[in-house]
Amino acid sequence: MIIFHVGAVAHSQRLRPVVDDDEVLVARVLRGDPQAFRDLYGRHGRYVAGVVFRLMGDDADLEDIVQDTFVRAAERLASLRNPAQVRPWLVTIAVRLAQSRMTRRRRRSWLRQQIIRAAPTVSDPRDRAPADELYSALDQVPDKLRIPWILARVEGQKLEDVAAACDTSLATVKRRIAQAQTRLDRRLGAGA
Amino acid sequence: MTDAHARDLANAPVPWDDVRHRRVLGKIEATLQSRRDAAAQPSTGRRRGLGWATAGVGMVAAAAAALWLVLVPSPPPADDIAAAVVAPTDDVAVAAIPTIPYVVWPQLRLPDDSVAQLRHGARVDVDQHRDDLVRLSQHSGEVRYEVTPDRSRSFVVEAAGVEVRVVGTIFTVTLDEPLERLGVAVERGLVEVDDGERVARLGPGDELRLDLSDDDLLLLDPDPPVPTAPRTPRPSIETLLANADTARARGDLPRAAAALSEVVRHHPKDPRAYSASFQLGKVERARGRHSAAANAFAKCWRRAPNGALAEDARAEAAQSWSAAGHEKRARAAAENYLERYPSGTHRARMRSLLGG
Repeated sequence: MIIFHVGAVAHSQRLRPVVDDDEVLVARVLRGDPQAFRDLYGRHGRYVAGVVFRLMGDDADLEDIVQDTFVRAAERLASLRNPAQVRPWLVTIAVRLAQSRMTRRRRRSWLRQQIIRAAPTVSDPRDRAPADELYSALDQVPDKLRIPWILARVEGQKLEDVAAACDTSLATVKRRIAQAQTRLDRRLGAGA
Repeated sequence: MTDAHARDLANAPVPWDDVRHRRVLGKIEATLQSRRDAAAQPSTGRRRGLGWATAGVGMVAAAAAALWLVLVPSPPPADDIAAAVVAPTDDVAVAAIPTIPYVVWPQLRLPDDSVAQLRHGARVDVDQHRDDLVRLSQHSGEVRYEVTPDRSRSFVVEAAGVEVRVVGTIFTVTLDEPLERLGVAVERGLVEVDDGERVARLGPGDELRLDLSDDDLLLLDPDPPVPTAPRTPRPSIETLLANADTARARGDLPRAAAALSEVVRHHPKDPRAYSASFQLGKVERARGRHSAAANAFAKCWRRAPNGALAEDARAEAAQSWSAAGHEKRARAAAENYLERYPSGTHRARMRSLLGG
């Protein structure tokens, strides 16, 4: 986000851009500035919501997961080693929370059926069909393969960030993405 | 095939609109506040979290109950309640109305259907409510204003000596006294923010921060529109000064302050604006608005550091900062005074401010 400094005299204004990056925001949050936390949420909240929505395949738990992500982030921000990497860090928290929800869902088959019926929430029916098809296929893929695949192939994250978010090594995450790809290709028909 | 599906999924709309975005932020802040409150209990004896200065977040029942109790002409005790409104007339209704799910903020509904949503630790006074002018004073906390469009009357919110003027719009003012920060965020319409020396005009999506400690204005927006506000003819300085004198003679201090404030703001080059700043400081102090008084006195001596009123204005500014509870500013102002006027007539008062 860009900040403009207004060094104006009466009834006139002059703007010059100043960069207020994540490091500055994090430092301000740690100093107890509530507005800085709102800015941090404003900058990354939508992105985190998008990642969670695509991971979960529906918006049933979307608000809860985003809320929990930022609550945890606020309480653990002091432990963030590199404040410039706050977005991948938030995604890591969100992924773990999403994974936990998925595990709970899978234990309850009736809820799973409900998810399949409800997923995904998109506005255009033309978009809905392929998304439904993909989620039907993804639903047959274990979470440990499904999550890195979505982060890498749908979110376009760097493999290093995917590995960090999944709390595993780069080699493992590459192997899991490849396994997920194979299963999805088989179900969806590679090259069809 | 899988690639195409992945692309479709990446491009599919996410059901996350502004309402949802704000609702979740409200829930996050309420959760954090409740955890902080729980952590601050004597039984646990520990603190964690961000240590924000906001009071009463999420304490909806307490805030609503407090609001019902403050419909009296005298100011409420600030420390005891999360949100308070002092209304000078009977035609202002206060009610706890649910606005968004999960978080319910008390609302102040004005006769023209404008609504002030009282959020974190909000304290608001309605100074004036006339057909041509609505003037509110925000003493602390966060308030979201939804102003009914009406070009025939001015809607002014004053916070820490800074005026926010609107015609019809939705905007939020956040006054963080401990951190000495003022924020104005505009959702719709146009807003003019005036700290007496500078004016910033904000459009939809703009956000402005005023650091009250170093007079720094920050406008947050990646691509800020700079709208041109419609100009209306302003009263002459003679009219305004006459209005101020008449109002003071009648004891109508809010109207006197409004007239003097107009003089200072709109006629800054007129020599009479100098003494008007000082008069404004005295009027604001008489109203018990010590931060506004300090700002007015400071404006006076800054305008003419060697002027006839400069010594008095510096001393009164220090005294007003102290009365407003801004001890750091009061000390700095007193030290400045003593440095500049070591044998000044107010030296004893200034030393007492420094604890000497």
